[in-house]
Amino acid sequence: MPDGVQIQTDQVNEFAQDLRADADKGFASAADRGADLHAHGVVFGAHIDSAAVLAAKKRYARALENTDANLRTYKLAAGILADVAEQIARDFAHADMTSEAAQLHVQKLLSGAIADADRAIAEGAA
Amino acid sequence: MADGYWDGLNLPAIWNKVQHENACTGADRVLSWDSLSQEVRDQHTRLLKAKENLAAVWPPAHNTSAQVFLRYMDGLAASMQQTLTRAEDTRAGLRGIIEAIGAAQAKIQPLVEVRDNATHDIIPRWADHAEDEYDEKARQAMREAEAAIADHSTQIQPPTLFRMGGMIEEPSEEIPIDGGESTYAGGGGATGGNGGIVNGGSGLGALHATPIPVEVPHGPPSAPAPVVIPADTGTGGPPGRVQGGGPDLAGVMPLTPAPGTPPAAGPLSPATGVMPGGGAVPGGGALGLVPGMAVGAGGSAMGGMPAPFGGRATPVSRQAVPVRTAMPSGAVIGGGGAPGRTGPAGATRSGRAAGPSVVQPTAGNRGRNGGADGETVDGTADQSWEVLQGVAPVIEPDTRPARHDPGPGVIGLSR
Repeated sequence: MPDGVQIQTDQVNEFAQDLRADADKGFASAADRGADLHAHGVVFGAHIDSAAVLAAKKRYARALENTDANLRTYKLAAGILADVAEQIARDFAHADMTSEAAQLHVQKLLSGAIADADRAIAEGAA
Repeated sequence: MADGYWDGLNLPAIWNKVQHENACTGADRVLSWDSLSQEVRDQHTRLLKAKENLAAVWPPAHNTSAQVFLRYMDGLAASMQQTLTRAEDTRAGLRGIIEAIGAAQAKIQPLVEVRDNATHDIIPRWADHAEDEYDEKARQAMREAEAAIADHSTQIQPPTLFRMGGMIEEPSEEIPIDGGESTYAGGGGATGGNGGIVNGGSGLGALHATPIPVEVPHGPPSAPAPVVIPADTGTGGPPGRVQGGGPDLAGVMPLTPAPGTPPAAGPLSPATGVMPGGGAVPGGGALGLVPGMAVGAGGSAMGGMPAPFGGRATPVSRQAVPVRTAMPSGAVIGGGGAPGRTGPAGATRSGRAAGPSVVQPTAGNRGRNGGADGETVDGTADQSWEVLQGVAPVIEPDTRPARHDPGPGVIGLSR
C-alpha cells in the first residue's frame, strides 16, 4: 500500500480511549485547580495601592485569568483529539484511502470537531 | 519602585494598609500553584507519551494524515509546557511577594504599640519627635518590601492564551501586562509561521481559551482613613503656636465631635482655650484642681488636673481636648487678663450649668520651655464652637458684707 495509509486502527482506538480518560480525569482535575485559584483571586495587597504593588496585582490577575482559561480549554482539546482519533480508527478500519484523501479526512474531522466545540461554547455562553 | 508613595504616610496609616495581609492565605495559594504545576506537568508527560505511542502505530513519516493530527497534539503540548512553566514562575513570584509583605508586617507590627505609647506619654510630639522615628521605620520597611515585590512580580508571567485550530503562538513570546489581549496572527491561515502549526487551511472555527476577568483589589481600607502627614508637622515653629493643624500633644486625644452633635458648653474652645463663662471663680477658689493638688503661686488655679466647676466631673469631662495655645504660667482660667481669652458675651457662669471644662497641661507644667508663654495667647481662632447660652442663675451670690475675724472663743485671744 505505497500510497495508502499505514495505521493500526486498534491501537489508535486504544489511544483514543486513554486520551478520553485523561481528558475526563487528569485534564479535568487540572482545570478544577485552575478554577480554584481563579476563584481566590488576587490574594495580596488588597489595600496597598502603590504603583509597584498595583502592577504586581495586575500581573497576577492576568496569570490567573490565562492559566484558568488555558486549563479549561486543554480539557476540551483533549476531548476533541480523543473523539477524532476514535473516529479515525473507525473510518480507516473500513476504508482504503489514499494518503491525500486520508489527510483531508483528518483535517475535516479535526476542523469539524473544533468548530462543534466552539459552537457549543458559544451557545453555552449565550 | 521609589515613587514616594510611602513618604506621605505615617505608621498608623501604613499599618492600616498592611495589617489585613494574610500570609497563611498567601501560602495556601503558593501551594495551590505548586500542585497545579505538578498536575499539568504530569498531564503533559502523559500527553507526550501518548503521542509517541500514536506515532508508533500511525507513523507520520509515512502518513501525512498522521502529521496533521500530531501537529494538533504538538500545539496542545507546547501550550501546556508554557502554562506549567509560567505557573511555576508565578508560584515563585507569589511566594516572594507574600514573604516581602510578611516581612514588612513583622517589622511594623511591634512599632505600632511602641508608637502608640509614645503618642500617649507626657512628652509632646513636638518635643521629642518620637512618633516621627517610628513612622520613618515603617516607611523604610515598606520601601524595602515594595522593592522586593517589584522584583518578584517580574516572575509572574501569564501564559499565552491557547487556541486550537488556528496558528499557535510562539511559546516564548513575552506577554505585556498592560491588559492587552494576546494576539494571534491569522485565524485558520495556511501556515504556522514562527514555529506554529497549521490547521490545514480549512478556515473553520477555532477553539479559543477565553479568560474570565479577575478583579484587582485596589483601594484604601474602609476605616480609619490613611493619615497624610504635613511636611512640617511638629517640627517647625515655637511650641504651642498654631501650625498646620497643630502639633500632636502627648496624651491628648483628638477632639472630633460626632456629626450633628453640638459641642458641650463647657470644654475649652479648641481654638482659644477660653472657658465658657469667662469669669474668675467666685471666692478665689482653685479652679481645675483635683482635691489635694497644690495650687500655683498666688492661688491661681492653673496647671492641675482639670476638674469641673463644683467638682462634679463626669467621664466626658475628663476627655482631653486639643488646644492650640498654651496657658501662660500663673494665668487664671477664664480670666480677662490674658488677651483673647475672654468668654463669649452673656455666657457668664454657663460652665456651672452646662458641664465641666478641661484644661490642657502646659509646657510650663513640665518645666519645659516656659518662656514661650507670651507667644501663645495671640492668634485668630480657626474653628468656632457654638456655645450654649446659660439660664438665669438659681443661686445668687451673697452680697452681704463679709466679716473676717477669728470669731469668739479662740484660745489665746482674750476679748
